[in-house]
Amino acid sequence: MKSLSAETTAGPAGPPGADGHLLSVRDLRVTFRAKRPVRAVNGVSYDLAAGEHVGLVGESGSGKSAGALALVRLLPDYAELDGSVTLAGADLMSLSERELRSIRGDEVGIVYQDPFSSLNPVLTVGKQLTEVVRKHRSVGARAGRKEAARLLETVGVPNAEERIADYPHQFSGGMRQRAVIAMAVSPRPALLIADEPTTALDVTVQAQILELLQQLTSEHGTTMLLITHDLGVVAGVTQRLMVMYAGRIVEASSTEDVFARPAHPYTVALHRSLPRIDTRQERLVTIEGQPPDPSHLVEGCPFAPRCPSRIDRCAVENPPLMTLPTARRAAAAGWEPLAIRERDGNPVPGPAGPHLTACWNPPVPEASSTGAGGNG
Amino acid sequence: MRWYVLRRLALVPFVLLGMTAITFFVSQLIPIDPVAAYLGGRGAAHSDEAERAIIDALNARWGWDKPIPERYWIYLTNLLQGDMGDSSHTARGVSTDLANVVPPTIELVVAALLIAMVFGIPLGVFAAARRGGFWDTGFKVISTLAISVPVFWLAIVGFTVFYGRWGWAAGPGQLDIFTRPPPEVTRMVTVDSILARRWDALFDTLHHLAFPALVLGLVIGFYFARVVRSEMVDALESDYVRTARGKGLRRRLVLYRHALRNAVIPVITLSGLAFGSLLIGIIVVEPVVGWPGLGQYAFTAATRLDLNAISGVVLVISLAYVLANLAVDLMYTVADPRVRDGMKS
Amino acid sequence: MTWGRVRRLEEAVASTRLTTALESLRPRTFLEFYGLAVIALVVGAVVAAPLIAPDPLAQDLTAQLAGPSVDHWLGTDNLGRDLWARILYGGRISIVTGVFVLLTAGAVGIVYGAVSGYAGGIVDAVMMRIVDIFLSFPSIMLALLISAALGPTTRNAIIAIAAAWWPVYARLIRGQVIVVKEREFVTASRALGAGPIRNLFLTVLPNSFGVMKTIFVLDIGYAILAGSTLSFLGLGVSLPTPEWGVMIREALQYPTHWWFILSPGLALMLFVSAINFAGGIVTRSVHEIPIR
Repeated sequence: MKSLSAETTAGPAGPPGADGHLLSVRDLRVTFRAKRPVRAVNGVSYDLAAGEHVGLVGESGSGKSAGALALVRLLPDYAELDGSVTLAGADLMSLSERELRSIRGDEVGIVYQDPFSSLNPVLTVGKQLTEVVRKHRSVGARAGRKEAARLLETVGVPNAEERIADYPHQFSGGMRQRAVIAMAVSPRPALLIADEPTTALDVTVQAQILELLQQLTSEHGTTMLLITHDLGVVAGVTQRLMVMYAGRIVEASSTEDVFARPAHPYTVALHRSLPRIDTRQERLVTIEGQPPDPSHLVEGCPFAPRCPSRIDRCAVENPPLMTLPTARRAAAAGWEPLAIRERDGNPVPGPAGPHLTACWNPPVPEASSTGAGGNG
Repeated sequence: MRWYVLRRLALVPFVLLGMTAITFFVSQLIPIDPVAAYLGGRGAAHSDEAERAIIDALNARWGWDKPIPERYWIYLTNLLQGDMGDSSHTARGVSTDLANVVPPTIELVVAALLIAMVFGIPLGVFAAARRGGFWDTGFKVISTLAISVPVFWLAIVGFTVFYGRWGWAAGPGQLDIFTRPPPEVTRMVTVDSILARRWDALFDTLHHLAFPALVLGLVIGFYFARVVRSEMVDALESDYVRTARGKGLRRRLVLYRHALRNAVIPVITLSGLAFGSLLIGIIVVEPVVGWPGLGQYAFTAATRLDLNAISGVVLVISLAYVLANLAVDLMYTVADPRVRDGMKS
Repeated sequence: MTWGRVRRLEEAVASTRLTTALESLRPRTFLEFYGLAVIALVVGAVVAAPLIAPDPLAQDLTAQLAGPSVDHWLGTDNLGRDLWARILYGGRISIVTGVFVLLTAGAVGIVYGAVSGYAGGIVDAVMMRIVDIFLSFPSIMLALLISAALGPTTRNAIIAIAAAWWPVYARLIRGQVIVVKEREFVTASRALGAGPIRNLFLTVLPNSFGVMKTIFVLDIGYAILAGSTLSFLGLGVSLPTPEWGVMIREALQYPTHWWFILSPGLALMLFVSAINFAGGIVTRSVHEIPIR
């Protein structure tokens, strides 16, 4: 399972955990066994520092959720995992299921996409909260209940004392998600994975939930990995962004950078599809074409068929993740991968890392970053 | 929820009425003249005059000379007064016979159901938790054999071995012939023994009950286990179980508190069906092991083509089935908070 | 839109269903392969019974209740009849009973359910309440009563079990029809003026068999079991015709002659479980592992 770690840890990030990274992911791969295996995550590496808020952005099917749940091995049995995941020095891929239990919940909290299905319909919200409290601290049933009510109150559920006796179906979608968040943050985890926490919710509730996540994680210095398909969601919340496409990270940099100078045509397209207030736009621009079939791997860059700035090289060779200057020179000089590796080493998205892109022909930022214009 | 329960209760009389109608019309299918059949069964009347008198009496009781709708009405009123006609093989009223044979059958049903649940539900959870593995495959093979075996055959073979050869199981009847029966109160020997504090009789009758209850309980238990397994597999792949695992809860809590609580809801519904197969099992197992209940009565009635007795048995068993399914529906509303609040039906 | 377009829509639906059906009909696990093999073997042996077994009715009073030997592979019964022959000929009746029960109950249930679902409204409500009443009987109980009223013959046993079973199919097919009748190609064909009968039987029904096929295959096994249960109760096949359930009833008197009691029960278990094992092939297409 961790056979690849020898090679991958030799990258510039150094041995995981040694330089203060909370989480180091190296060459993570997730394959769903089926008649035709589905490669959901196809070699993803990154580092997270303590207290950071990082966004992981991509279309549905890009492998972002599978990649995040794979960190604590929370995928169904028919998912095969490969690569290494190190959390505060502990190699999560080699832990036993029993050992993982002390990581899940306690060290890594998770907020799921759909609060309508992620809560158990036949147990009261209070019960589901109390069991987290009591797992973490050995308190009696009554004290556990009291703590559950307090937790529910901190996440902004009114009348928490009474509502802990309610079943999930008696909660609104936003309230349910608040309850899920309460469960996730109650043991003060070092890492919070928020997997599309607002997607299933009404627009009006989305902002409140994001604010709540922001507030709770900042209070406790929790690292947050915020997964979303919506660039708009990550804008105000995260310091860094990683953009995923077809199971790989295709661009990574500070949120500011990615918004101002997107260096991958896919990010540019995602950007364009955002509704804007500053320009009068009649209708949303959508990205042409379909995301690639993850059970059918193609040669070359998986985004090439939909890419407005593709060049011949894109059809035959899948670009590695390079620093932006390297990528630009590679485009001009036609560097081979060996030369690229010589210049860049093996760049891994991490705190204060350089702007990375996986593109043979990175788009040049326009003078004004309005992003308006013709449809590619 | 109250609305749902009321509607469900209101439906019961209609279902029962429909059932009596079907039972009645089916018994009208009999290709021979009922009077002749009745007399043939007795083979008694020698003079025309005597025969006439009997026919008149029968017509007065059953309206056999009247058109069918009227006959159904008479049948229904008789039924409501507890008159199900006479059994041709015992020559008693079917209701009297049923009052004698139903209590032992209730004992057997309760015992078998208890065994089935205590054995089947954990087994299903066990198989689901190891889905796709060695134990799960073993479970699949054995449970498939269990639901494919004719239960009466299993009972015969088992009885031959465990009673005939090894003498572990008790013989026919509810008590050994040397055991003095407890005073008859409920006609359920287990209950009567407890009421009379006759522990020897209780022990003896439990020994007699054990074999048929185990055969039926195990077969129905495997049926339960298969349903529990497939519902558990679904539940284990659900988002809320993922949430529970994501909290780092112990495996047992995830299995029993989170997954099983949800999986038993459909199992409750299906247990109504399982109860139906249990009732059928009773009919064929009782005559094999000589348990003096409804099944043995039905077996003899079927052999003798005693239509009144068969109709009586069918009605009683179907009534039990309808009531069991009603109880199951009501349990369902208790088990699922969403149904309780009328979110789902 | 033209008739041609509707036809193409219909064909598209039909052909995809056929290929997926064929693809899923390949055995994939050992148990499925085993099930298919046993079914083939049993059906083959039963069909070839006159070639590989003696007369099942010939009595040999010099060899009553004889154990298995070279002359009588499975031994003989209380009248000295060859059990191997009786098992094979009995299998014919058991299997034919099972198949005919399904055909009869299926035909009645499908037409009834389709009409009910397609008609909708009050007609549907009334028709379904009738089904509910039939379903309130444990199925064998109704069969028992009908069989007793009609008299114990194989034909009557088939009628009796089918009469008890059709409501299940009616209910199932109704549910499917209600879903399918709202689909695009159905509305299209209705818009083109296809009459309700043509529409129901040529467009809606053929596309409503998805769930049915899985149930149907498995039910052959249960129909065989139900038939033998009736026979065991003395209400199915009458003597001296061999049938697995009747043979168990005959052997009831001679429990210690193990070959007599074992062979019909094992034959039933072997065949019915083979159907259940092989049934995975058809049910799997429904429970295919989700990709995401």
